Amino acid sequence: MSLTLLSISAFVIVAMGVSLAVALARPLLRRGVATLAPAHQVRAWAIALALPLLVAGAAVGVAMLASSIPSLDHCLAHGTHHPHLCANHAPVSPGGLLLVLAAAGLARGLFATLGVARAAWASRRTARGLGEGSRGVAGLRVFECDQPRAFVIGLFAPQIFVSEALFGADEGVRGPILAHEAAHQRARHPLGRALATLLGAAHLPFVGRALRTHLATAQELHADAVAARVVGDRLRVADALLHVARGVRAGGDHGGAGSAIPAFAACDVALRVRALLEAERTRAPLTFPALALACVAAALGLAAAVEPVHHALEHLLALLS
Amino acid sequence: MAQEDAAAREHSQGRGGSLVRAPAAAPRRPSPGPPRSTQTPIDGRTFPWLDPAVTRRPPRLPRLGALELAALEHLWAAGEADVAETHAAVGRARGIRANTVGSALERLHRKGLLGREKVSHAYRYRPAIDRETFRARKVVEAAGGLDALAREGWLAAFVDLLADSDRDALTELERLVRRKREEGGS
Repeated sequence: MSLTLLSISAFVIVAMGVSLAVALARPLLRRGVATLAPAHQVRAWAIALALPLLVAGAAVGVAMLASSIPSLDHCLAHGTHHPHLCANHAPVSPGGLLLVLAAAGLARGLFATLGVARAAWASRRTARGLGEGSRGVAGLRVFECDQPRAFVIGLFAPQIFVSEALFGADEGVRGPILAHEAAHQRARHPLGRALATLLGAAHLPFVGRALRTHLATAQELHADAVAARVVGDRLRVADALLHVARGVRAGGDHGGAGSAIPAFAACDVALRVRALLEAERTRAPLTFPALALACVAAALGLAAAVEPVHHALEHLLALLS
Repeated sequence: MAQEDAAAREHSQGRGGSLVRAPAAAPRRPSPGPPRSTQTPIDGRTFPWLDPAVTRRPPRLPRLGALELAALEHLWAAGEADVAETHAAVGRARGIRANTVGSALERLHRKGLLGREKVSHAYRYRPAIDRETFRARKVVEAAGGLDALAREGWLAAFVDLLADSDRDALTELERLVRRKREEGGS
């Protein structure tokens, strides 16, 4: 039990440190990520969200690994005056602050998991209810609403829902919107956002929220870029975006009369329209081979740094216990 | 960039007000006893989800399976039908037996969505709620879920359904798009 709590404390400490580093690097990150192709912007923000989990997990795992390698077993030389991340020797029970950190980490993880489970259930129930209240047309679900609405719901079987007002609109407006939603559906962006919620729990709260917003915006930019490629005209997508934003705003002005569906327009419309006015970004460094190579390099680096990582973590735990 | 940061903060804080306005709270008054239903009985039975006078707000419509929904769609189209006719319309294509379709119709009747009368040996079913009302109620019920999903940031909508708009900003953006088009850019 003490070793488990020590490991969790170590995990939380490292995760907080990584999250803080990401927060400090955020302005630089934003400038750098903004130059990437939209699909790679999504990957970049997903990696930023996953960093605390990955780094903390790797650090604690590597530190524990040291105890199973006889040539690196130095616990008895250290003495028992400070916590040991060691499976072989009886560890010191964690002190007050470490216990608090472990408890906070466990609680945050539990709340995040329950929150995601609750939202996933709500998503399923909403999709089912809307599905029953709509008619199926060419793979879409069309529901009665006098406002222009289009969205994708569903984590594992995402469906596109379109309002009658939008479905009956001019092809110049309908085409880009359906292409945009199809991009969300193919890329399973709702599932991506659910995973982002879970990964964000390993960050400091304000950092996790900001990163999730960046990820959601990147997903919208990605879907806009795909829609622009499908319809062959970036300005058509921009026009459709503004048309719907106007329509949504008009519905909000009338208090959503005649419609119970959400009726406010976007604050990220400006960002997306300006992105569509520029040439498409094509810088795409985060390919899967490149990411796989980076993972291998990181694993090798960690393997080479088993002892220093182990020492550093134990000293950190000693300082805080 | 600062504007985008502010926008991102606004979005993450879920500003924008409630998406679905809650009905005004009913005034408190001493209860005179069990509320009197104003619903016309269907086959001698009343169903709470068809009678808002009984409850403070309309209760949720029952959940339906795929076969139940298909049977209900058929009855909306046909007006009324028996098990054999419904099976011919929706059961054969699915490769299911008439008994299964009959069970689905029975469940729909128990849920209060179908009325029935016995004609000779068989029941003839008819919808107790019209298609438009059913769909409208389902959409209204789903609106709360959409609200929650939008606040969680899980809703992949073409236009973000939560954030406030700015009329002047939209006008400026439309001007930029027009200018770009005139310049011949795309």
